[in-house]
Amino acid sequence: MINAAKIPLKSAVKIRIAGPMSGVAEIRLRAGRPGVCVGILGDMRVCSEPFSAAEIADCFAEICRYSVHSFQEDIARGFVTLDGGHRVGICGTAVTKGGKIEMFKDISGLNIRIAHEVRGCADEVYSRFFSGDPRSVLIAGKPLCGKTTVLRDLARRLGERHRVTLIDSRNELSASFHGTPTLDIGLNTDVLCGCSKSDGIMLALRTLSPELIICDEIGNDGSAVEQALFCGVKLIASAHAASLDELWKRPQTRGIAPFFDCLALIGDRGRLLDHRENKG
Amino acid sequence: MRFLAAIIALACCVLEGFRRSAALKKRALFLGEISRMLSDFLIGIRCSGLTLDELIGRAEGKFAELLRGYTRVGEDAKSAWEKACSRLPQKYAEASLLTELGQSIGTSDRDGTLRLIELYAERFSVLESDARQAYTQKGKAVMQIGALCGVAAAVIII
Repeated sequence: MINAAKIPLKSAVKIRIAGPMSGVAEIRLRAGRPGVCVGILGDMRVCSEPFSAAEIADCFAEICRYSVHSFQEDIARGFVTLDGGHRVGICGTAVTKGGKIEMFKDISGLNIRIAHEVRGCADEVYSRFFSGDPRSVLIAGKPLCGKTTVLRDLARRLGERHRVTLIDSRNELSASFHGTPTLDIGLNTDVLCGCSKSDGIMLALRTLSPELIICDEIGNDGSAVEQALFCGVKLIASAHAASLDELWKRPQTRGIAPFFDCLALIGDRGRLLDHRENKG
Repeated sequence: MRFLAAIIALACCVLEGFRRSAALKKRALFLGEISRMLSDFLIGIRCSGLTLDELIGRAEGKFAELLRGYTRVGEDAKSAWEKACSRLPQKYAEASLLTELGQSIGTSDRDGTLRLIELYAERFSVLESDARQAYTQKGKAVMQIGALCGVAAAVIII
């Protein structure tokens, strides 16, 4: 049994995980229930004694570095990112103002997604789409299949040869700490942290002259994507979808999917399951 | 022998007078530093959304130094605050006020945190003005009383 020491939280002392942390995708903490560890293959195991509501509240305060005011925007979007790029999803009661979520109170659960740096996990995608001139690729996959890890590895490899801008709205890709990426994202990769994807794409186009822009979980950012792709810049993005047909039909992605040169579907550990070239 | 004892008594009383006067001055200065630190906190949160760690890192004054002493050895901001408060003289109101502030700071959204700090800044500003007044009124008197007591003790001994 090992302590979840990789997670920079004192509250993690209570969590006990059998086996290496590299096999852990998520740790879910819920008030009144024991912690559950989700493996990278989707297997679930109990990994702690039940957490009280007060312990969850303490854990949340610690996640926010005792500075909820500094993470207000992130909390309103439902997550906070820990040092090391681990993303913590928040469950609780939403506090709304003018119909928009402003905060969460009565925190009832935390979902800690462990960031993994897996060098080489994007090899298959890289050799398929980027061995020649770079192309715009929309990478789809189910939740937890490793899309973010693949994008990070692509950034590392492409950043060796091209000018890459990484739009890291949730600080998961680069795990930047005080502005310095703590994960390997490539020699020539610039990072825009904290801004929305559409703002980040526009900023990058105006000021950073990238050859490639990489961003995670693209959705309603159609006009920015169009702008980027018609400016001669290649875009690599990821989106949730279980198949390429689903990607084509999803309201969030059907508007942008035709603009990409290729669509790729990945499975566990970045395995390329399917791909499609967009003609014209 | 009596003369020597009288000089020692005189010196002790004068020093005690100085010590008490210096303590009044030190408290007024400390409260001034806390007020300034809270003003800096307000600016840091309002303009840059700084975390408690970052605010502590930039703050000036003895209390901030005390806090940094703990954060440097790996304590988080909350426990550093608790420990720093426990090292303050507990007989004064500022120790309990700072402890209360430490328990609540950073637990609410930006508006809530700013209002909380403003509230405590007002309380500290009242304490500071009281302490300054106490030093102005009593500082010299305490020294003079110390010297007079010393002279009286010396005369009695001789």
